[in-house]
Order: sequence, then C-alpha cells, then structure tokens
Amino acid sequence: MNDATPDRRSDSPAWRAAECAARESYGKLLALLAVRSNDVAAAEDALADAFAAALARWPETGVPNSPDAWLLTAARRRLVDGARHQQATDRVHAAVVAELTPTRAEIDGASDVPDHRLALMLACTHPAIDAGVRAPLILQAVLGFDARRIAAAFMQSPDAMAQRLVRAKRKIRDAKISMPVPDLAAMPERLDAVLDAIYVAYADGWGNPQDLTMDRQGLTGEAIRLARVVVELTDHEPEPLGLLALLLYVDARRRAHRPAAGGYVPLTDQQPAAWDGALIDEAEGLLTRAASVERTGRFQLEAAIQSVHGARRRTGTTDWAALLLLYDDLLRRTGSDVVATNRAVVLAAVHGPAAGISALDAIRVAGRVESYQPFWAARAELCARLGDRPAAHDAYQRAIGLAADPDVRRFLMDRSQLPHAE
Amino acid sequence: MSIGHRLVRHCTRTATANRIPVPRAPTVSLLLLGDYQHMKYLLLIYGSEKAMASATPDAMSRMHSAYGAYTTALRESGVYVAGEALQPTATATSIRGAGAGANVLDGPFAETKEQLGGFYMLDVPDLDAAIKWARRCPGTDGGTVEVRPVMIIPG
Repeated sequence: MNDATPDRRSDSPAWRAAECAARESYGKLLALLAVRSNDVAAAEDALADAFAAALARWPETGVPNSPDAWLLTAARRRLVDGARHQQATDRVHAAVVAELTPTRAEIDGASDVPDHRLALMLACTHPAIDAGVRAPLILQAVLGFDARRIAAAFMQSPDAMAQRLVRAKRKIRDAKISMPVPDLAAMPERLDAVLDAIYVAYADGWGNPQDLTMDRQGLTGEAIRLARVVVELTDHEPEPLGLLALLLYVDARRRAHRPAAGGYVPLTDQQPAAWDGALIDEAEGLLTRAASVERTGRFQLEAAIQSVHGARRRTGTTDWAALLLLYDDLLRRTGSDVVATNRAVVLAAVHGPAAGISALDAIRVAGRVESYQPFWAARAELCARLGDRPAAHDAYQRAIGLAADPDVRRFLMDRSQLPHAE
Repeated sequence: MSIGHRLVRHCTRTATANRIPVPRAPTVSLLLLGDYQHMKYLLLIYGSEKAMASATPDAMSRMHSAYGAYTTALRESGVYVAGEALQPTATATSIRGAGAGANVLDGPFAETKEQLGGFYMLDVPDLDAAIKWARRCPGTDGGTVEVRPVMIIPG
C-alpha cells in the first residue's frame, strides 16, 4: 500500500469521514452477511477486509454515494474467494484493494440493503448462548467493537473475553442458531433477552465512574444507541420503548450521580436541578407511547419507577407509596434479588425501617445476597435509622468490603462513621 | 402527574390478575454447586510506598478500615484462604544464586514504581469471580492488584 498520500493518514478528515460512514453501516452489513451464512466470524473477517479496502480507497475517491452497497459488495466478494487470501487485514495490499473495489453496476445492484440487525441480535441472545457473553456479542456484532474494547468496558480479562466471543460465534455457526426474520409476537421472551443484554451493558457502564465521564462514548452511550436501534426495528413495541425510556431517565441523572468534582451521590440526595430535564421529557414521551399499548412489562415498570423519581423535579417530594406499588408488580414479575432489595428500601420509606429490614432478611434467607453490595448498604442504612448501631456497623462493614468503586467506598465509610482505627 | 404515576393505577388494576408466583431463577453459582472445580487465586497488591509514607494519619486509618471491611466480606462470602500485609521493601532481603556463587542482598529483587505491599489468597470457582473480588480490593484505588491463578500440580 502506498503510504505517501497524505490523505491516507488516519487523522486526515477524509479518512475520518470514511471511518464514520463505515461505522454507521457496520451492524447492518454484518447482519446481512451473517444471516446468509450463519457464520458471524467469517462475515466479520470479510467485512473487516472490505473496510480496510474502503479506508484505503475512500480518502482518494471520496465516500461513495452508497457506502453500504460499496462495502457489502466488497465483503461478499471477499467471502466468495476468502480462502484465497490469508493476509492480515491491517496490511491489505493495493492489489487486494483493487480487487475488492466494486464496479458501478455492482453497487447499483446492491443499493437497497435490508436491515437484519434484529435477527442478528436475537441470535446473539439465544438461550443456547452463555448469558454472560450476550451483551458483549451484541456490541461486537452490531457496533463492531473489538474484543479488547469490550473487555475493558466490562472490566474483564481481554483474553478471556476474546475466547468467549469466539466460542459463542462458533456455537451460532455449528449449532446453526437460526437468524430468521423475527416474529416478535410469537417470541416475546426472545426479545426480552435482547433487551436484557442491552440493559446489562448499560448497567455495567453505569457502575464504572470512568464510563460516565466519557461523554456518552462509553458503554452507557452505546447501550442507549442499541436501545434506539431496537425501538426502531421492532416497530415501537412497548417493551423496547420502556427500556429506552428507562435508560434515558437514568442517564438524565449521570452528572448528579457523579459530579464532575468527583464523589458519589445517591438518588435521594441528588438535586433535581442537576438532572437533564430534556432527557427526562423524552423518556416521559417514550413511556407514554409504550403505555398506550396497554401491555405492561418489566422494562415499562422499571421506567415508571424512574418516572416517579423524576417527578420530584416538579413536586419536590418522592411519592413512595406509588413506588411501592410499582415495585410490588415488578417483583412479582421478576423475582429478582436486586428488585427485592430496592423494594425493601421503598417499603421502609412507607412503613418504617423495621418493615424494610424484615423484607431484606427475607431475601437473605435464600442466601444469594451475601456478596451483593447494595443489599448490605441498604441494610446498614435501615439499621442506622432504627438506631441499631451494632447491626448497622456490621452491615456497613460488609458493604464497604464489597464496594468496587473508591467513591462508593468513601461514601459508605463516611456514612458508617466507623471508628477510624481498628 | 408523571406517566409513571399513571402506570401505578394500571399496576393496581392488573395486580390480582398477575398474582401467579414467578419461580426464582437459581443463580449460576447454585446451579454449579457441588460439582464445580475450585481454583485458588493470589491477589498481589502493588502500591507506591512513597505515597504511603506521606499519607496522613486519617488516610491511613481509612485505608486500614477499608481493608478490614474487605477481609470481612471475603471471609463472610466463604472465599478467603489467606491474606497478609507486608512490611516495606526497605526490610527486604534477596538471595540470588546458590552454592559458592550465592549472593545475599539488601532490598527487593527489582526496583519498580509500585511495590508489593500485601496479598490475599482466594478460593473461587473461576477467573471472573477472582477479578470481581480483585476489583473490590482497596488496593486498586491508586495502585494495582494482580490476579494470579495458583498452579495445579497433578498427582
């Protein structure tokens, strides 16, 4: 490849324009290629070569009118004679670039690229795929993240993440996990798995203070982008709308939750003036649309809970009784320890700390919250409110020991007023 | 009134219709209980001794409290095997070579920006669990925690 052309430098505007156009198309193109072959890895390789060719070519020729069609045609060509070339994608030779560059007629023939991203996402979240790798797999397949970036976002080991992604893709191919054009009404639980993976991605980003300072370039921002894609692709089904609303309500509080000056502020201590009102308004609109269908689901309920919290910006108070009803319904549907923990806190606000503590202890019997930090933080808080100092101390101790975030650890230590010397 | 409030009314309306108890999904650890292979992992805690030496008494006592809480959480969760804090590298002695060529030297084997200041040994199902615990270690705040699987010697 001739590197003398200044336009080919990766910081040139032409290169960046090419990269941006390519990035926008990635998920759609991968889905289209993978749906045919059921081979996500092979489709990724072909697409990677097509992108490399585009990045070598477009800075000179300009971004084509239909970048999708250009890339698709190049990738298909690569898939057909993939076995003939073995060179690494970062060293695509001029000859290969020339070979992959589609003709005018080919591009015109491929100008209408159908969108199979939902089918791809459904395959990524198939019950046969390990639940822990579903969200990473979606991020890779639909947004084109590399394994290293995904591992960093989920704070996992890059090698282990890469291996898992490879294994999952092999499973999709070898077990022939189908990518049909989805009939959403017939498989609501499959759509739930997609929504859940996006939710997990957002939650993982939310737990990482660095992610929240990345100006929506991090996992939280990408999860919102994915939720928007799903809303668009599911023709405004209520649960995707509910999920998107939920993420926007929560995202509206990112600055209040993690002030620029550092530190951690829990929801009840936040000043509504620090929330992003425009995002909350957008979320209200989305949830209203979802509710008009009258098919309530988990994500709509979670969004409704955030809506009630958000109403504090107008009323100045929190309607705990309303929250309790929503949490009751949510708990009935999910049976989740996380929901049960939050519900206990709300219950305490309505019926007093003793009621909240009994509710927490009822969850503890099942034995799955022993290393769940928010459970211990909640128990500590309620014991302190009840005036049970020894129990509060023990629970704070557990919560502090389980905190992975220094700001949360500091916050809990300040709250606990632990004796400073052991 | 927010849309959330309007949905509350819907919830109370449908509450009775929905009162079918949802079975709780067992967590992964429960599914695996009994037949998963335990692994031991060493968490090696590296930090700047220089920074430590200039820390305020308040910061030091907070650090001690944080480590105390972390150790409690490890024990209560049943993953703790061992853990110790080490004295500074100024107290270290290194022995290099054997027999006639043996050298006994003052100080640590290598000069580094961060020094080994302590360790934990954990007994957990897999690397993910070890990383999860390593992330909770107070040593990650301003330092590095290295996770090393313990080698299984067959036989």
